[in-house]
Amino acid sequence: MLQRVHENKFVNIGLSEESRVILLSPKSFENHGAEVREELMAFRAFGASVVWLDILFSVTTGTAPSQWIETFFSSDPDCHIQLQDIMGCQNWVMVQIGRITKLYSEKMQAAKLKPFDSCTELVQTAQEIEKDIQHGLAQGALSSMDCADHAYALVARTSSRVVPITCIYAHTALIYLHLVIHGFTELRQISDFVSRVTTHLRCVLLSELRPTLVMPIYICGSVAEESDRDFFREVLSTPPLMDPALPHRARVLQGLEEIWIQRQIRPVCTWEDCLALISDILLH
Amino acid sequence: MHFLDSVCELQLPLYNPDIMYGGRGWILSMLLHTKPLYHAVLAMSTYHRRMVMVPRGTPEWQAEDVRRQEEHVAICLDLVHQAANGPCSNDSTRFGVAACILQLLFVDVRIPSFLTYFLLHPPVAEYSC
Repeated sequence: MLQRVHENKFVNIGLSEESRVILLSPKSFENHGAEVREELMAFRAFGASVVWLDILFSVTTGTAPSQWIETFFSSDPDCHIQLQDIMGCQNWVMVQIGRITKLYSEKMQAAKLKPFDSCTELVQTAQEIEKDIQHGLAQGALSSMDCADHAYALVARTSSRVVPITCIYAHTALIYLHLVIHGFTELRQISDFVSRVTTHLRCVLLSELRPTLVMPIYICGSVAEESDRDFFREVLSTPPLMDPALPHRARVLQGLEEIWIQRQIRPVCTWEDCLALISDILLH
Repeated sequence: MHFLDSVCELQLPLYNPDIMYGGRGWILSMLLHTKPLYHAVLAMSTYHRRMVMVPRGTPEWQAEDVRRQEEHVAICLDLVHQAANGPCSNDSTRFGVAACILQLLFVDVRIPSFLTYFLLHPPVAEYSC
């Protein structure tokens, strides 16, 4: 529906002409009337929710994100849909996670004909994604951000929690990329990223943000060593993540336990093996 | 108001729009102008309150909440079905109904009946003209 809406230039969905014009261009609207502001705020929140859910769904099912997403959602700072407004992560990271899910989907199709290492294009795409994520981390000075820094404490206490959340998701994306390509082998290559995400998650200042971090908790938890697993068990079985009105979150810890068992049983455990266990999980 | 006070935060964890853009006032406006969304939100709110109050509510009270929740769900689905099968040109509530469907997706995770409904009614799930 959203793709048809965009192709038809937002007509016939109940938006005013003024709102329609603003949506077709990167214009601000704080000086417009209340009706226009309300319409555009609704569209932004609605669009961001749909994009977020679509990407989460892609991660747990191993499918590419819906194609229409690219018409609304990009790393462009003027993009009307900004995921950081609802869940704290900047668009550029979620765009990369979307690319990784697409890479996985293409890898599985190509695997029917030849191994991943022989698919030059896919290997190149994987390298580009990693380079783009590292570039994004370096640009935002996020890669060196440490929980113990005074500056970090200041950021975590301010109304903008975007910096630490984006940092966590960016490192999670690097872990996820590794899992998609190598499965649960050669985990030493990502030990730094895992350590960084785990340290951020352990930071008391960020514990109230955990409801937005279900996906990083799951991805990072899946590669956790035995010594760290009790921490993930605690995070996923206590508030703020556990809420009586959100019973679906109990399934997330169950999924992790199943993955940990699989890693012990199988000498070579792949991401595909995990997807069979988590396709009914909602990482929200 | 329960939805705005408690449930909205669960669905959109960090959503706190600037007062310059009118804050979250648009949510109230949309609820008041879109009947199916209004009922979907009431169903969600009733469910949330019931789950939170489980340790303290009596069985009769909880049974009444279940009844109300299912009533709102039934009204909502009926209205969405009417909207999906009605004339689609110049329908000023289309966006509101789309938002309702999204709310139902959130509710779906918690109330299995929605999944069953969408599996049995593909035209509603596609919401196409």
